[in-house]
Amino acid sequence: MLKELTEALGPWPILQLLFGLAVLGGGIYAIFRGVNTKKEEPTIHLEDRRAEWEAYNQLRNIEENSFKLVELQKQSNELQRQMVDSFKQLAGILWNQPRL
Amino acid sequence: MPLTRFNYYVEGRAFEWIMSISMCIVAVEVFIWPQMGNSTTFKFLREAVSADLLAFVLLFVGGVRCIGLMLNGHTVGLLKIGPWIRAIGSVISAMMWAQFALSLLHLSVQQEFPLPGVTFWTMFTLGELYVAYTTVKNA
Repeated sequence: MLKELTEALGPWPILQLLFGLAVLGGGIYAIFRGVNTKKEEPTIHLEDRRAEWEAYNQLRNIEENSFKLVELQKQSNELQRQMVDSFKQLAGILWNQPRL
Repeated sequence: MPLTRFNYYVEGRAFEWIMSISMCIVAVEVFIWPQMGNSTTFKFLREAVSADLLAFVLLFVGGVRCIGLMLNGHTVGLLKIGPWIRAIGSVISAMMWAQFALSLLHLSVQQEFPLPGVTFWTMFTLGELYVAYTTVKNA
């Protein structure tokens, strides 16, 4: 039966046109479906926005504190150097103290 | 690293790249060897158009699809044109693959056993329609 059908439709491009139009219709439907699905799904939720905002706040905090940390570390190093110098002076004084 | 750049363009779109590049290659082959236009796969399309026109359409659609695949985030006005080019190119390609499948189906009916190309071209048609849907959805 299929053979007779294809032979009967041989001279006419009906089947080809029908298939082509069916695929074209399916393609247009797929595109519309894709557009509508995209509209329904929110790209980003409110909680995600909050989390993103909080993350940026933390990043800013870290950046500000990192500069302060460097400054404090420099001061701490300077104080330690002074302390070491003081210990050296003390050791020198004790070493050079006249022995009775 | 070159693979990183390659993955940036290809990952998630391998099917589209393969079909687009194949279209361009087949078009060039038909230009070089016009007798390829007499292949059974092109039977129904050749009844309507010449081999040169078929090759030109394949080259044009394949080339435009490649351009669409390269456009990541480019906009015309407020519209990202890359996904739309890919979606429309997929639909046009699906129509062509359906014609190829139909040609081979016609031959299969005549010789009373199926040709493997029928399955492949039918699945390519369905794949292209799904690509059209996902491309626009994820735009």
